[in-house]
Amino acid sequence: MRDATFRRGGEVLVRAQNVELEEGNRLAHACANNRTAAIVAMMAAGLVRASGGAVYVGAFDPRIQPVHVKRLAGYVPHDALPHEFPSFEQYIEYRAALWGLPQAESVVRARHILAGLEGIHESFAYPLAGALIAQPRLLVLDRPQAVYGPQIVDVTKSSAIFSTHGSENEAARFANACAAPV
Amino acid sequence: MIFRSITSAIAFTRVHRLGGQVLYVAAAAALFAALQMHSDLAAHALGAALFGSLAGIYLAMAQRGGRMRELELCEQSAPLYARGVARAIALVPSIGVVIALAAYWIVTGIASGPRDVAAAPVFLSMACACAVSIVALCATVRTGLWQAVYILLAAIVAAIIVMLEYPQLPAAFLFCGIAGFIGLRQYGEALARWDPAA
Repeated sequence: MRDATFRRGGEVLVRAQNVELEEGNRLAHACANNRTAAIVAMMAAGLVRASGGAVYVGAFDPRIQPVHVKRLAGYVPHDALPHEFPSFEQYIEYRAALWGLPQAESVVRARHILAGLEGIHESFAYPLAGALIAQPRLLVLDRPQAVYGPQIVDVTKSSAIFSTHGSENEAARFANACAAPV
Repeated sequence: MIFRSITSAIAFTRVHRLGGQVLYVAAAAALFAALQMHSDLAAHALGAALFGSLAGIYLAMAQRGGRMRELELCEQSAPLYARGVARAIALVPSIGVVIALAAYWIVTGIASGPRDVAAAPVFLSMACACAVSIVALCATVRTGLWQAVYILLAAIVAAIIVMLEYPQLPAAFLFCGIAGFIGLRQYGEALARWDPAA
């Protein structure tokens, strides 16, 4: 991200963000508040287009090639509620269908990932497992908890991890937990 | 449950989540049909088209936010083109109104007798409600005044179809098709520009 901003109706919701993350690296990015953290995470995952500046994920600009960006990035929102699905398997089958992945294989892979996330609350573990079934090169986490850091690093393997946080303290705690720079 | 396509995954999951509301709407449609039991075919046709349109607007508006928020984020973060997502989402209120209107016409057939049921009004009421719900979907990706404008536009579409129904039945079907097609194109375009940070 280079001077990436986000405006809505004249109001600047995200001031200029400058972030660079190399392939396979980790970065805990501190934002001004929770709302900014949520929007920056969405900008990094290609869900939201920056109003100003530039955002590139790999070689792709989300404003021009959002689908290519979404193939590279896995996004885990802060406030997902996947327990409304009847079962974990059905949630994974749904996600696999959206990503065009083989559904039975994805369920097996997701169960394996979920086993590595033991102890993590399902409202975070399920979307994380769901995001990882597509083996993204960039994992974008919106305000993850620091205590989950080591397990996230374990299951993520070679993907780059970009996390956004609502304050410097939260970012530092998460960075310490998973040995990432702030 | 193995989903055969992206469309079926999105549509089935949303219909499943909306199941309770579809049942309430179908029950209300059945009750409305029972209240109209002494009316003639013209009144039933009008009632079905207008009730179906209202139900379509309601089910379309239920496609955004609330319990759909998590599905929205999944769909938006998936590598999908907006027009494909728009087609799949458009199926959801359409399925809902077809179920509701089926309940309406079944109750009409039982309560008023088979002479008050004819194929053309049945299919036109369903086509009208589907077209209106697709136009109303455009309101879900807008806020404020523009949202109100699209809801009003959906209501105007319903009114035009009802006005066309008796003098010009083929024209009414044609108008449903054109309104639905343009509405779906508009919705796909708006969904491509929409961002979930709203």
